[in-house]
Amino acid sequence: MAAPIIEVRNLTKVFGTVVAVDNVSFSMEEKDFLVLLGPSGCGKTTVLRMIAGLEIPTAGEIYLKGRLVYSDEKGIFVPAREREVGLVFQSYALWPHMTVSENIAFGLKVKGMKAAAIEEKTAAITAYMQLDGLRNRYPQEMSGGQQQRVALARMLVSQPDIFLMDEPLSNLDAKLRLEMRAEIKNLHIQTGATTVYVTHDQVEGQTMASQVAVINNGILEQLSSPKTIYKRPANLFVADFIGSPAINLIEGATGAIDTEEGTTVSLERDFWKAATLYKNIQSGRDIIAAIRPENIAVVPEEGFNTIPATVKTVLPSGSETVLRVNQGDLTLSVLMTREVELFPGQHINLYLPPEHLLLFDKATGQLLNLPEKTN
Amino acid sequence: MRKIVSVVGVLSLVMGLACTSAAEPFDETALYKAAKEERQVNIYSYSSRVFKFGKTFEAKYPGIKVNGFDMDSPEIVTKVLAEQAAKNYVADVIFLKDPSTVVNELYNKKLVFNYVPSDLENLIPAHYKEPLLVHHASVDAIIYNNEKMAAPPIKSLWDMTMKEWKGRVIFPDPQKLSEYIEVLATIVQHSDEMAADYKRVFGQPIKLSPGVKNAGYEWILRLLNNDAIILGSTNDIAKAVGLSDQAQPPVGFTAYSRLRDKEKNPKLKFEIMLDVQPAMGVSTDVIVAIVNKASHPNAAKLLIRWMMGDEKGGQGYEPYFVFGNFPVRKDVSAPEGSKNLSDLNLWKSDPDYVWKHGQEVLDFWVAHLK
Amino acid sequence: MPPSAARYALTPALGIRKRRDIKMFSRAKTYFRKPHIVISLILLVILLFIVIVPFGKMVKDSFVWQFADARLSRNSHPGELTLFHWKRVFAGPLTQNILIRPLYNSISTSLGVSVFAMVIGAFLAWLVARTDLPFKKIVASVAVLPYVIPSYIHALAWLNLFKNDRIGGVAGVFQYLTGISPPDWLSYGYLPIVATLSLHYFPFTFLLVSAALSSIDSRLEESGEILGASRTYILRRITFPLILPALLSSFILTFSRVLGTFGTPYFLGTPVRYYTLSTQIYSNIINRIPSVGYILAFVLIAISSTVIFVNQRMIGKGKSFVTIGGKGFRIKDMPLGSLRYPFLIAIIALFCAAVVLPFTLILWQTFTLYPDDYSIRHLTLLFWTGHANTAFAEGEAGILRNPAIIGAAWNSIKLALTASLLAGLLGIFIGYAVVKGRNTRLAFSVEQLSFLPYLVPGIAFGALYLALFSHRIGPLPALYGTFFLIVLVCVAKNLPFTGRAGITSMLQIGNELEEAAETLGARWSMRFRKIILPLSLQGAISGFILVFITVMRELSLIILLVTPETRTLTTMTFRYQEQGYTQFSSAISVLIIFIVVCGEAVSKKLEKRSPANR
Repeated sequence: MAAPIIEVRNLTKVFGTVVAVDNVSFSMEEKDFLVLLGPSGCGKTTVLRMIAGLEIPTAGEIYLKGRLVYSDEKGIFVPAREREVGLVFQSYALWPHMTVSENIAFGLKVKGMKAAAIEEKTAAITAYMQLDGLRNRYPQEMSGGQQQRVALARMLVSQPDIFLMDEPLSNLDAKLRLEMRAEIKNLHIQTGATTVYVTHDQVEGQTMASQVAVINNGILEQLSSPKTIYKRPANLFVADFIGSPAINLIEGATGAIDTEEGTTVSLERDFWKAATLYKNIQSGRDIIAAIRPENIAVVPEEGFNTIPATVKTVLPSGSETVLRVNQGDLTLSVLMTREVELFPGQHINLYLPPEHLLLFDKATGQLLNLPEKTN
Repeated sequence: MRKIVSVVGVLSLVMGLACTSAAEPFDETALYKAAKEERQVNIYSYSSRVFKFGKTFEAKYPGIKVNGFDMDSPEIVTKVLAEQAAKNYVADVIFLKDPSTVVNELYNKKLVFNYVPSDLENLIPAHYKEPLLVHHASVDAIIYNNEKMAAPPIKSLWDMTMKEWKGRVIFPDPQKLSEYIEVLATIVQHSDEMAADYKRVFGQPIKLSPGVKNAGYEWILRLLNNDAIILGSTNDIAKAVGLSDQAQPPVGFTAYSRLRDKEKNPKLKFEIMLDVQPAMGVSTDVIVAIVNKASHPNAAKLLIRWMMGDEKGGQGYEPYFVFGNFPVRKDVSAPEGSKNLSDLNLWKSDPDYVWKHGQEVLDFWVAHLK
Repeated sequence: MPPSAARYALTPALGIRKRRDIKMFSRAKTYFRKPHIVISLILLVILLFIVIVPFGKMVKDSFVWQFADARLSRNSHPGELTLFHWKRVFAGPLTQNILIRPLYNSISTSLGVSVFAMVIGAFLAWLVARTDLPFKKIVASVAVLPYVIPSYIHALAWLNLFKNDRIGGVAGVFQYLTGISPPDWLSYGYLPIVATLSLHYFPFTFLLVSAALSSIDSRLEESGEILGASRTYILRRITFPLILPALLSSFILTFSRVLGTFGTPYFLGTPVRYYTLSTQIYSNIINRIPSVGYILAFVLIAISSTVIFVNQRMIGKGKSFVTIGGKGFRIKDMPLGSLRYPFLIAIIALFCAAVVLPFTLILWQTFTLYPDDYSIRHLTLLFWTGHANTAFAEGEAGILRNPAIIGAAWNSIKLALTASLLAGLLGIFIGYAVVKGRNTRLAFSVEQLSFLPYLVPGIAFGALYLALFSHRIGPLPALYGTFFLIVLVCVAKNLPFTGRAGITSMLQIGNELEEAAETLGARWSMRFRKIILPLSLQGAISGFILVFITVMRELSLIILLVTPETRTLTTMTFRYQEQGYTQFSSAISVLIIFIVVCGEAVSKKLEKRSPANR
């Protein structure tokens, strides 16, 4: 097996007394698209900057394409300019005193390329990025989306094997953001560059990533495929951070239900209980159950795993409808993909499918292990 | 090469000094020949008239350039001290007031040397040759507006402390113009005469204010308390007193030689008051000397000789042949219409006294500014 | 991994030590990898020679008997330690008059001037940068002129207007027209000093604030407008906080500058015995009691430092605004409506008072045959173009024919150019080192040290350089008498201007702009040349202009250091004033103004062509 393209080991960064990045490790293969996801100030940008070589870590090791570029133990630090990575900044960081062409050509000039070759490459990339008519404009004379394209073009023209992107779309309006999302994904597919992409927008993260790393307070909470992150969040933070509307959290305790296959576990709460697929967990343990809004169904009759509830609000939005319902002191969100004829105050029954009920340990916040076969 | 030149320079300087004591005849041709090889001479001068005698010198002795540089006397001393420390001997000749400082800070430390041209040995009184050669004496005195006032309004220095002169006497700021420290110190030095004159004017012995040492200090105190106006430039004082069309012009201390300002400005109408008791002013020696290790010693000597002029005044001395500057040569008298120094009722400032007491007097002045 | 673990297990002590050594070595290596650290260290070495050593000498000399102290005390032993000078200043019979009263006067004039100059300068800057004021471009280009005109000309103009007959001579225009003799407080002392110096120094604030305003994206203000905020509310809550750093640094610059100013306060204050601390410093140094002068300078430094400290508290550490990001920004003019022309008229009046009137006065003086005789009958060109060796002006040639003046003019230009270029370049480096190293002790010391010379009055600084550099220090040969020494002292004294300008402009350049170049493989030298230098040039040019003007007009700083070969125009004016030839000295002043205006025009051209100005 070839060496990973990016490998980060025990990476730590301390600013003064604040631990910004805490012992983060991961590795990426060729063509991986890793999204560093987390709330602002969580340390995700710092990780990216350390990979780029713009920030000197406090401890740990970084390998790029098998080359050790940072190690505190071995006293190695390769500066950014020798790492050959492409970086796109949140602010685009276009040089206001240079035209589009000059901005793009800069990296090639640095490499000492001949003028003719620079011209050729610049022309090619501006055409590719649909910036043809803008070559002699200055950045401040262009729209945000155009500036973003220039920033991408400037990175692409040097043909780096690694793309690093720091919230590149956060300054664009919603429509443009969708367009650019597709464009960046497309770029990734065409170039095959290993990409690390920082965002705080979990939808953006989910749609673009091949791998998602959720970071909180400098700690890597979970690193998995977007699907796993969504379906099997490793802990309550990830569960809560991913998904919109947010996952429903229900505090309760475990109870035992004996079945043929052994003892399954139920979620027990005030006046109702619901079956889960968990097995062999000590009864009476404090837990927090979680279920995604789209996994709850509204059913006409009481039955297996249903609970009664009252409709509080109905929030239709085109193809989807979000219900807010009350069950005792609990408020749950329900996402329905069909039209519903419900009104506030109406009594309904909610079906909680056992396979979608996740249980987290209340004390640690960690996901309790599900039996293998349900995965 | 430079080193050799300066060695030669030092040697010839030493020889030159030996020569003066031997009173040999002044050999102008030989000196010019030697000076010509040095090509130039740098002179630091307290007076801008350096450019005038420089020009006539250059005309008389072609091949030698005079680099005149004018600045305040204290600055000249500061600069020479720095140059000697840096061993960067720029100045060859210094020409300045403030003899007390020159003697104590430069001459006594052997940073400047005396040079008296041998042919002048007998033409200059001893006290103008030792320890350093005096070029001329400069006088500070009191001026009045003779357009408005028919006669000099002041008869005694004590008049200036009287009510009628309240706010109408201008005195140069000794904090800025160091030569007026000399004037004040000299008045203090002559406190006995000040006391006697007080008695003459007021008919009773002076009663000193608490903490005041003598009548000289008392005069300073009363002058300050009489709302004397302080100005930082003698040129401004001449204008303040002398400009025509004034209703009530003040009187003021200034340099006697300011009289020549009247030629530049016909609107100036002022005169010196000659009959003031106990003295009409203070005279100060203006010194000219050669700097230690001067790079152009022969040109320096030739220049000093030129500055001292001839029996009629002479071209070299001409810029100073004016009212208010008094020649030291016995064979040259003051310009026509001017009295000779010896005829004036003056006090001569005493470098030693000024060195020892000048600062004390200035401190007194500063402490009593209100 | 296992083999090395085994080795560590065998020799644990050695292993741990080795690891720690490697760690420390690697820390050091990565530390020096940062260009701003290397630059800071180089700057510190330069500052060691031009700031720390002189400052150390200042401290030392204040505790040591000097030779000329023999005049002060019979007990003086040159070279030995003493507290005499400190006692003389702080606990002697003179304390009241050399320290306390002058100190009070210094602080009150400096405060007055800084407040007025700040208000005038900031308001003007706002009008020019942010509103639809008519003739904005012209206003902007003449705004710096009051600083170009020597401040003593402002003082002279004031006296020509408001002089009463207290000090004799001819009374001013006010008395001539009204027949009323102005009261002393209008003619001399506090009010005239504050008024004239405010008119002279407001361009400081104007330059700094308009630079700050022009780099603030007006979308920041517009977004406030969208939220429904009133105009004054936006000014107060958005614009004001954004320019606060510029305002406060202009306050510091003006305050400290006025504290050290000698000429105008002396000229206008002496007739009513209104002395400032700078008078005392000047007088003590000229009188060769430098120790006392230095101690008084320490007092000035202490006051300025306090003001700066309070200032920094007000701005709050690290509260800076990056206003040039990688995105473009735009500026929108605010309509003044019916106030457009009233404001314009007020500005015209201001410029009449600060520029036209004093300049006309000084220019007229150069044509007068007799000083103070302004009648048309007696006008002449002789002081400009007269031939030498005539009966006129004691044989002096007009200044345009006078080789000494022309030589001095070249010296002045050479000095101002080299000093401002060097100081400007150093300023950019200081800005870079300070901004990139924010909140590190190294950057802090570079910033503070580079500002220190500004607080030392020129005459004291000149005296220090004279005393220090007349000897050889370490690798430096004795520099006295060289042109370089004069350049050096001017650079050191003006570093605070360019350093501030450098810091301000660097603060506005987002970090990413350099980082983007870094990730594209550019070495530091290239990043500096292609990115940092062009982007900071606009800010640097305004610092450069200020230094150029200041050096062209410098007198007290260099008077002790010039030699016949290196004398400048300013040192020549002294001679003519002493001689009573106001015409010549005025003509030289006009020549200086002319050179400065040309210099400014050229640098404005360069600024326009500078790529950052698009």
